[in-house]
Amino acid sequence: MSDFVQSSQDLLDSADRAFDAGDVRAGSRLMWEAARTAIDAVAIKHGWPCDSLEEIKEVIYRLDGVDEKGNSTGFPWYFMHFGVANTFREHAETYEWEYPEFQWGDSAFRMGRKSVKKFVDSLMRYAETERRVQ
Amino acid sequence: MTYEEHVEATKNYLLAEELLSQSGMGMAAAEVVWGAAVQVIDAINHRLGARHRGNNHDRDQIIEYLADKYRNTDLFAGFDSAKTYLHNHFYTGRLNNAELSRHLESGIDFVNRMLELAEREGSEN
Repeated sequence: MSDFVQSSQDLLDSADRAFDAGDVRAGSRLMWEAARTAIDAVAIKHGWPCDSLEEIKEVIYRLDGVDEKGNSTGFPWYFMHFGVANTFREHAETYEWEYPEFQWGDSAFRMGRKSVKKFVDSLMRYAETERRVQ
Repeated sequence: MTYEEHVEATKNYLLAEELLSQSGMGMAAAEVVWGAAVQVIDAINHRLGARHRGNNHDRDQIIEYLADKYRNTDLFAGFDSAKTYLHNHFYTGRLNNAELSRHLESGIDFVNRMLELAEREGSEN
């Protein structure tokens, strides 16, 4: 598990350096990869499949307490922050925006980085302790 | 619009969301939650002395100001839920039912948190 923690932290540090250098696309890709690594840590520990985007979402639903029938027992905190990580993925992969109003500006990137760091930290704590710390 | 009118519009949009969701009109429900988010941010802009002009870039800056002031990272995640997912869904239909219901929940939670902050900002000024 410590390997995942170190990998996630290394990716977050690399993302910071990319953003500081003005490379928004590389920074966004690294933020997504940091989140992805943290999700993998939880999934592997529990034996949950986590290869496709749909399987990743299923992991997030489990973390938020969604049962097999899709009924929710709690606030979708992980899903909400996963959304931010996924938006970073879209900023890494999108070259032409059909609707430019959804392209983040500087404020959104700054806040998004804080959101993903909190998300990754919470996932790592969960992977280590199985306690939700939000 | 005045502060009070923005708050009233926010609450009316939240009521509309309930009716639209109950009627199975998820795409419209998503858009009125975005409408509620815009209205409550513009209400807080009044509380902050109407420093911003009310465009999307300025709304980002208001969220950043509040997230930093109250040390609340969840505010941006809720805002992103309302904008990047619910507002976008109105154009593209990108969300399936499970995703839509969860983004509606986080978007509405964001609006309600912001209504509380609007009250708090008013009592400070």
